[in-house]
Amino acid sequence: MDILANLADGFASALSPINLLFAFLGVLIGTMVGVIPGIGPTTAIALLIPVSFSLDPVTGLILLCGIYYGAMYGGSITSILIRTPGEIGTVMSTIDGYEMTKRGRGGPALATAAIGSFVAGTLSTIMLMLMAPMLAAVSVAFGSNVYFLLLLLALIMLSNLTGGSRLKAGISTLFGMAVAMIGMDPQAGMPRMTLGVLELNSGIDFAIFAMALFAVPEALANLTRRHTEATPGIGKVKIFMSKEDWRRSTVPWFRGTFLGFFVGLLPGMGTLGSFFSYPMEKRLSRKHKAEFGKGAIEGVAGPEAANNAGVGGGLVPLFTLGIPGSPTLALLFFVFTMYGLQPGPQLMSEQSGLIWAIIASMYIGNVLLLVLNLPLVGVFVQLLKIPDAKLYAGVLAFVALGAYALGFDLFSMGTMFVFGLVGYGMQKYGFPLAPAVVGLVLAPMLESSLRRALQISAGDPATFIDGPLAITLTALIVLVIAAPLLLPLLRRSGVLARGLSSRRQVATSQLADPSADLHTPTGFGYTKEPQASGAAEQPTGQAAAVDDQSELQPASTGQGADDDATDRKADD
Amino acid sequence: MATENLGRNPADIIAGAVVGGVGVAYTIVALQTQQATSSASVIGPAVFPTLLGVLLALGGAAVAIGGWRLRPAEAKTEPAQSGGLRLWVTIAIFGAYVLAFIPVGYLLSTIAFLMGLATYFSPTKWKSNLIFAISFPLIVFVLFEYLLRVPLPQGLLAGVL
Repeated sequence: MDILANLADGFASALSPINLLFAFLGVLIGTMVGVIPGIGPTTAIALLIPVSFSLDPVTGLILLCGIYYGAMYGGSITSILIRTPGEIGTVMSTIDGYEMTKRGRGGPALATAAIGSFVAGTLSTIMLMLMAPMLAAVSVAFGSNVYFLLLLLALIMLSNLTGGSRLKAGISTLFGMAVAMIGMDPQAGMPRMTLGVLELNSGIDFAIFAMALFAVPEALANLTRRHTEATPGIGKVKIFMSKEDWRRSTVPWFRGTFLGFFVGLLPGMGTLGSFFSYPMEKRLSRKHKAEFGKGAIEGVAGPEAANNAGVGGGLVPLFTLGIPGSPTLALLFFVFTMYGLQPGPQLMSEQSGLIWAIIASMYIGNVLLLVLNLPLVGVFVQLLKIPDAKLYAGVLAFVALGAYALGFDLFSMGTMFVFGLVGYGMQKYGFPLAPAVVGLVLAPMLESSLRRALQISAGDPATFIDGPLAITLTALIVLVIAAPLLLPLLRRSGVLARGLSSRRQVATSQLADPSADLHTPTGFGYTKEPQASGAAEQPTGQAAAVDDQSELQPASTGQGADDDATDRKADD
Repeated sequence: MATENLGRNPADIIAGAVVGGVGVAYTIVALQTQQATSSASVIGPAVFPTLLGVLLALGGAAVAIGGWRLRPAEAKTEPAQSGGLRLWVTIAIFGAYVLAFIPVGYLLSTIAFLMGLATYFSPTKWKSNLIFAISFPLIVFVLFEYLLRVPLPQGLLAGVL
């Protein structure tokens, strides 16, 4: 009953006119930004963090959560209509979604995505509501050693799963962690890695770093690409689902929701539920198996629901353990700390009003998303017609403004400029960017929990194998590090039986080595490819992962894929 | 002994060398970190950064060595092509904008920046470029100044606005 009372309070707060207005604005702006090719939820939030500065915590967080859902749906729109996913979660929707568009059924595809997102958002919020307090109660008992191991596991999983080449993803994570060390050492109370520059004593602002790394390289790459025409017109989009569409979508929505939520609970898996959902829907489909890859509505309904349910799932470890499971959640984590709130076991008890207001705002956000998106999808699509030069010049101007608003000085803007160029270089040479941002967020927590753990154990490293939970986590970490190195050896020596189905291969190849940094959209390596409805452009690393044919194949055209192949060999 | 089908990967060699260099430099700076006066902590302020620096240096070396090894040519990592001159001009315009932002003021510098970039990329569409370059900063200015109450630099327009 406590939960219901808390939720009622949460609704009372979230339904106040100002919060409702900002939830609406968040969903609207998020969708608009999410529709911009190559800009996904992470970049959208990074860009708009400065806007939330002047708001109070509840309103600011409601705005950013709205942007999150909005941008996710915006990504679905571009995935389905022009086969350009803004981030990893919607890659799967490009397969059957785009096929449906080619067959004139883009409307129902968008509708099933929107309703699926609504179902998933609502149900996963309920599950979050039920699970978070329980997990928070348990996690209070975690010692520093367990906490350190959990963080380390999350960090390794994230850099393993989000990057192109594993080695380069690792370097990118280390880079982010190295940047995090700049500034005052909280424990010793003295500056380090600042080279005597006073402005660096307060460290590199996370939001500036994230904005610079996510938005600047993307804008530069898109601006300097050879062609700067607008995306070909989509025409009018009518949303209409037939009875048959409803019947075929319903079960996949629910299946996707549960799958996505539980996958989202795992640190580092973030919104990868859609990658499991698609093959599952195909396998379970009896009547329409042959339709998959040629416009099966189940292939959109399941992954879209899974993708959105992952948000609720990912919020559970964020709220209760203070561990962000994806780069986007890492940004939200930062926003919490910006408001002086520390996500973690205490947050649920100390700031329960805020947490419940956010949870209530998720219900509201999901309703708004549905109300807004179904009728307005045609308007959002018009955004695709803005020429690249104006669109990305505007993005750069907005980044500069954001950097200014974060520090009100030239130093903040200069930091943004420098890290923007570094990010461009990193992306150009195949270093994924998302792990760097995650590294920056997690490094201080990792260091302080390591220090605390060793302090308590008087320097004895045996603390990391003290107790069943610590042993399990240490074993998992060893496994996660060793498995990618050992698997190729085992496979070569014939220990592992072959005969994985091509679909399973797809899932693993996409998970273990996505062809590009899928959380951060890449603007590089665009290729023109003739398509049925005119030549639309797409980033090779992402959309090319999805073949015109029904079967998915590991992306091999993107630069990142080549890297990966190269590094895998180097690893051998 | 490079044959037609085998080649080194210069991009990875360069990238690895840069990362390795950064790692070494980072380690050197980390090692110079003053040790905490109270030696109560098991792990001092220099330990974690040093570890990161060493790992970065090793990682850079691994990338460079991977790029040095001969491998089939198709596995090469070529940095994606995106126009050289266009890139440098864009970076220069962006850099100038960052420098001018505070002294010149948000409105004027942003109008000039957007007009400059839009004209550079589509010189013929000056009318739509101009409308865009003026309307975008104006809307943002009103939003920030009046709705969000975040003051933006007025620069040359101080006193006018």
